[in-house]
Amino acid sequence: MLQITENFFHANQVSGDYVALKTSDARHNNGRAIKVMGEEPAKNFGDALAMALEKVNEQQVNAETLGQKIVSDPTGVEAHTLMIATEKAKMSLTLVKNLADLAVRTYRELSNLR
Amino acid sequence: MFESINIASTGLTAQRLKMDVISNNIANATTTRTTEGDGPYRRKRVVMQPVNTRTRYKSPVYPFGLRAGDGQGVRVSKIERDEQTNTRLVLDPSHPDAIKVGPKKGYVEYPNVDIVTEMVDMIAASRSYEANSQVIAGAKAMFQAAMQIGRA
Amino acid sequence: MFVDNAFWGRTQYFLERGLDVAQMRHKVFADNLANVDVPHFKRSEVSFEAEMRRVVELEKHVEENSIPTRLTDEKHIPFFRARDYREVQPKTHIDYLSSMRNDGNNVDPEHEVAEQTKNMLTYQMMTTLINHNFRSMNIVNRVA
Repeated sequence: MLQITENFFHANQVSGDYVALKTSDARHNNGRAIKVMGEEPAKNFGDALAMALEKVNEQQVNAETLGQKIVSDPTGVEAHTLMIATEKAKMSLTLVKNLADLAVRTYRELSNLR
Repeated sequence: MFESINIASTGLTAQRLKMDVISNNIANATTTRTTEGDGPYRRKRVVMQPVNTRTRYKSPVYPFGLRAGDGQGVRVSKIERDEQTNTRLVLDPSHPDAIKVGPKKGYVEYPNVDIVTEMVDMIAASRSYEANSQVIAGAKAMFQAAMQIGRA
Repeated sequence: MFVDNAFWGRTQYFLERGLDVAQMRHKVFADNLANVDVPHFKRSEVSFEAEMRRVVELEKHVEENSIPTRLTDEKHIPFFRARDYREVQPKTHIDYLSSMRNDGNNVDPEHEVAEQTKNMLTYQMMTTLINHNFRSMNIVNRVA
């Protein structure tokens, strides 16, 4: 079995006809960056709620942009893309609102315990 | 959003134009004299081309010209007279348009319109018209199905 | 919220891509049918599902079980490369090898109409499935 040592290129750098650029500095950009879905976990519930609200806002802006594209660029947007984006935005908004309401209600119940 | 409907409508226009030309041919099937004055009516036919004029088939000389999938439909490039088919000759010396001199003396030249060919072309054109209108119906059904996505 | 690496999010992603591909396919069929009696016209078709199937079946393989490659140059391609199903794109090909009529055209209208009907029904089924997904999420969202 062949050992891949430091002198050889690693398989993760090669992807068909694309080669990742050498990044030796923090300011170098990756040649072909695949978006990483994870992020740092939140420290407390307030932070988690704030991050979730940010993502909800992003989805809503996305849906609104697509809706505006119907008039400005109708050949670029498809009917089902717009409907799905609108529905997703509505659902995330409902979920986050319910979570926030539940949090407030729980706090109120806990503070009324006496 | 509705690119398939645009493409199908170009097909419908082209087929309707072809039908018009065919019906003109059939109506003038026995016209022996035209306004240009150079003989009987000659049948016309329609030459169609895809809308993007880039090459659609591979050639060893120009392999990079091949680009798939950006067709925008069909258009009629010209309506030309058919000069190759021979006209019909009927012997009728008392006709006012009979040929007076030459080896074909006494014959009348009738147009080169063959009714059977025209009818076959007409059936093909109407079948293509139906297929194109089915494309539009399909696109409409797909759009309406997409509209149901958010409904309760 | 709709994370793609969860299993449910993957179905959603597949269905959305399927809708995009179905739309593209409808456009290509419309083009084929519009050019049904143009001489020397070759029909086009869209390929996506075969590529997707290959990528999904490749996920069962593991990189440690495959033969390692010795890469000495930047441009070498490894034997096994894990592919992400998000990279699969639909491609349109021109079919210039099938049998032709006398004028060089190879569009068969009945075949195009049949394929288009299948495509349309698949599109409707996919929108129904997406609707089911959304509705089940809405059930979860209701506050007791």
